Amino acid sequence: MSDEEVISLYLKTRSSSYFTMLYSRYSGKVYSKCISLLKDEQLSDDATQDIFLKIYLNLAKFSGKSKFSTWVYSITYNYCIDYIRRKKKERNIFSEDIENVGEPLEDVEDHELLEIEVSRLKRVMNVIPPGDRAVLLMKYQDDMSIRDISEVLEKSESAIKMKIKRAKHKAKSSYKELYKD
Amino acid sequence: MSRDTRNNFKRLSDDEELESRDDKELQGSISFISSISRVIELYLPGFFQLLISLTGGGDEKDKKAGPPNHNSGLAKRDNEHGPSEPPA
Repeated sequence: MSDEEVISLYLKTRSSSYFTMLYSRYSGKVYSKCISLLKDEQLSDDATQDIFLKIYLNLAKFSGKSKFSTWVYSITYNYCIDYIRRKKKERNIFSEDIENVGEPLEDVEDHELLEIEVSRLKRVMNVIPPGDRAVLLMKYQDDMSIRDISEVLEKSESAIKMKIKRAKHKAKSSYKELYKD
Repeated sequence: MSRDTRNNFKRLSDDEELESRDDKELQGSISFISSISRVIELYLPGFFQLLISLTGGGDEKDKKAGPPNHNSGLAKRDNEHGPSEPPA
């Protein structure tokens, strides 16, 4: 059964078994995104519960314009980025907030990042700023469009393109730094 | 980006999901084992005490607990005419 079918059955019957079905499909993915961004198991557990509460409360508002997974991930990224800004008091969550934005950047080919060995990629993702991590995950892990990402981060599409470019550059330079040989 | 190329971001997500599932399963097993051991800890001494008293041990405690119940089945079998029954 597709997600959309499960949602429409849930909205018709209000049977919790349909919501449980959605929970079992997405809780692992939501948790793994939370742990990537928040870096804390207990926090990620709590965040996953909060995110599913939001999904539960807003499920009737899901219009079906985008895929359900995209909607779920949007809520997840929004929650985590908001949490980092609010609770961790990190205002500089993108590398462009920290580094010199005037500096011209070389283009990084997608395959240069996509083909990094998994354990190394994990390490690279751990050292780059959380905002850069989030845009790379949205683009390469969740296949979100520039428009979707711009809606999540409430920025223009051109700003998002620039953020992705900087995030790719940051990831590549971090990789080079971590694995000099 | 060619969608046909290897995408290790997807594998990263799968790995993290598996790791978190493994962690949760491990935590579940640990809490199951600890609750079992708590039950054993609570009831095992009592079980041994019962076993000892059934096999006729634990006199000290029996004395403290008061006189034996002669109306019990065991007492009747040992002594057909218990003190509570009038002689025939």
